[in-house]
Amino acid sequence: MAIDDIYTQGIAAGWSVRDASTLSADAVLETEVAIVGSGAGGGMAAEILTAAGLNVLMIEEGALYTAADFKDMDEWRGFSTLYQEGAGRMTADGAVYVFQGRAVGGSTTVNWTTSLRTPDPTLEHWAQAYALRDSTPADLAPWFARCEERLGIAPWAMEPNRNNALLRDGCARLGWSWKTIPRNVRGCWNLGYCGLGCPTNAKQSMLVTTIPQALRRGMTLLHHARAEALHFSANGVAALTVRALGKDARTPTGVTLTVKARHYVLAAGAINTPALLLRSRAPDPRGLIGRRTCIHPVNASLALFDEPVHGFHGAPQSIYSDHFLWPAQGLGYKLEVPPLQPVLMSGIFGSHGERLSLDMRQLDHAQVCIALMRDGFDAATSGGRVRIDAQGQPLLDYPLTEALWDGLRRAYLSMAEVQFAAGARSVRPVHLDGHDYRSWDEARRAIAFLPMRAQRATLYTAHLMGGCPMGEDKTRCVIDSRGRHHEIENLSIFDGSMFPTSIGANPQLSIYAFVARNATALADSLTPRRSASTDTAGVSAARHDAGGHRHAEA
Amino acid sequence: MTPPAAIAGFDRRAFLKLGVAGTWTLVACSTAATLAGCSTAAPPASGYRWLSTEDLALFSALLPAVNGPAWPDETSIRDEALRRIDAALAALAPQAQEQTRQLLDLLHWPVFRHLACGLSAPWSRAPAEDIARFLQRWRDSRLELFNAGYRGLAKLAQLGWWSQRASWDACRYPGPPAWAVAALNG
Repeated sequence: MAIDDIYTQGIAAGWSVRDASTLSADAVLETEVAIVGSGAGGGMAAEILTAAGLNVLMIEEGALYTAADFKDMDEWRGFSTLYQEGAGRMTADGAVYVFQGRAVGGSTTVNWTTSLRTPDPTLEHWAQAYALRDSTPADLAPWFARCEERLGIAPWAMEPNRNNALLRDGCARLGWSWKTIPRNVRGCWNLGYCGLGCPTNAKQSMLVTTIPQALRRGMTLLHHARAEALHFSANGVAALTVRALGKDARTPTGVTLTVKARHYVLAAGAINTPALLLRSRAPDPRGLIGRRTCIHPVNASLALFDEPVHGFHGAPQSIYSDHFLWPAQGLGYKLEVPPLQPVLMSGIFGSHGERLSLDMRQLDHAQVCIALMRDGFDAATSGGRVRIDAQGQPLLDYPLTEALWDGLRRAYLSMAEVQFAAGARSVRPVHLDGHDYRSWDEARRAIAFLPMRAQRATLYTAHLMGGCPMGEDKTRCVIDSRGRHHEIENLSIFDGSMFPTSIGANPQLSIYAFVARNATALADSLTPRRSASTDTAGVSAARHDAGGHRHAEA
Repeated sequence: MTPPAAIAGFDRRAFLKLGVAGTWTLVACSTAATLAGCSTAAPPASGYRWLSTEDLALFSALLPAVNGPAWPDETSIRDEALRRIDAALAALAPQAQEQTRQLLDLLHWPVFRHLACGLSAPWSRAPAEDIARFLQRWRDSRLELFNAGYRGLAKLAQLGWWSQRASWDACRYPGPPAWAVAALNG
């Protein structure tokens, strides 16, 4: 059964999809709106802006890969082609591994489909501390609902795979709260390879939903194209310089494109958007750009079970617990699980030599919990900083503070406790000093003394947030509550960099909902005469697109 | 600088004595050596984008040491592992590439190899037990620099092997569900 990769037919039908690696001459591209980036923010914005009749150019530095490329479900292919730095990105000090997408569809092409609304306390904090306007839970509810409908987001109805079920069972035995994760899928085959590109188009990523819809409406998608710098005049952004990249999607070919647009939307993610602004020397009177970057630092705990777990198969994330997300004191964290395929697991075991060979033989009996720290809500965990190196390439500094280490240690404890409650034979904190503890009591005593230091604890992030915070308080925020830049009239920021702190939930649905709201407002302001129809156009288009059949759009 | 006799008698105590100051002295010496042209940045080996001939010897020695008995030590698998390590390094951002280059240059530098890794022979001829001991020492070290080096080298060697289908038997990984592979590729 061949899966329609959507793009082959679309391109044959005349979609404007251009591979910058094939260009041989410099050119000037004119458009009404230029969108930099094709992930959650760029994709959602493209659908809404094109629905309003705007002419849109989307610029993506990564390559265009489709379901046809994903059907091998191979870790090497996925990591080396779909992630920033071939999945080797790290914080500047090398202490945190950074998983971030880099392809058409951005991180939505590789995420694990978890689709949670922004928690109410987070929205309340943003309103209070950053004067974020019109963003109460009630204000956003219709936007969440709209995006959930557009992207097939619903609690996972099938039985969780065992890796997730064990988190559920452990929580249930301890009386901890847990919930089923809503996923953005339609007709999911429950395979488990979301992180390597969905081979069946079931995942409702931007790659298969909003971007095709925008292309049907005449958008141009330019991939293998890196946004180099914005150029400013008295009236705001005057142009955007774009470098064409070669077939490897890394090496510039020497061809330079100049993009001229009425309005510019940055949606390159919370590392690359601030870096682009810094590289461009964008107005930043208070030095806010790239500051307070939050990452939901993640630690992990490995359990071995007598019965097979087979954590490499089945929907990777279907259960979570927020039991520890909002503690009365200290840093809160969310509990989830990752998919357990060999490459990821070889790193999680944290061993080498004979030990690693033995560890890997237990892959099918392993269960792994992860804890995501809710950073950025107080001075003790105020996030990191994106800066640029001499070549203008982004670097992320992320200081690991005492408050963070305290949260990470409590998370090691919680994860061990829940894993033993679920029946684990042994639990090993994913930490160079972690061992296979045989009981909760033994684990508790050992974890209390684990040295909480960079490079000893294995840390990850897949959630990049902040750097261009959103709110009306100009002393703390780069953009206003509608995503418009406070200083630059024709510039909007529609991606994870808009969040004033971390979210306390996997970011994609927060990005979709805020961008749906803010892009609709932008469309209204750019198309005053056409605005009567824009409010509903995106939604009705969304319904038709669900089946993937309709090609023409008014 | 430590006399050769002490190097030959390298042990854990000597390694610990090297300490933070000693490590940074070595790093500084290495940098000076580089600046003085004593250690020239070798070009990528033929057919590779990033790894030099010396790097290839180093990773060829690390692949079995990191992956243990599961490593099959077959030429075709080693070549594919090296190709993947090469691609992974070429994909890194400039600063990460620079730092990796510095680490590898240090590892190639005989003085550092002796003092910080405890290896008297070059990587291509170093006994497996010595390489295993080096990995364990860097893993157990109280110095973040060595822990980071251990993690970086281990991660690359792990990627080189466990990303290959030939490794699946060794980790009892059945691969993607056969029915789905058949359906998608049919």
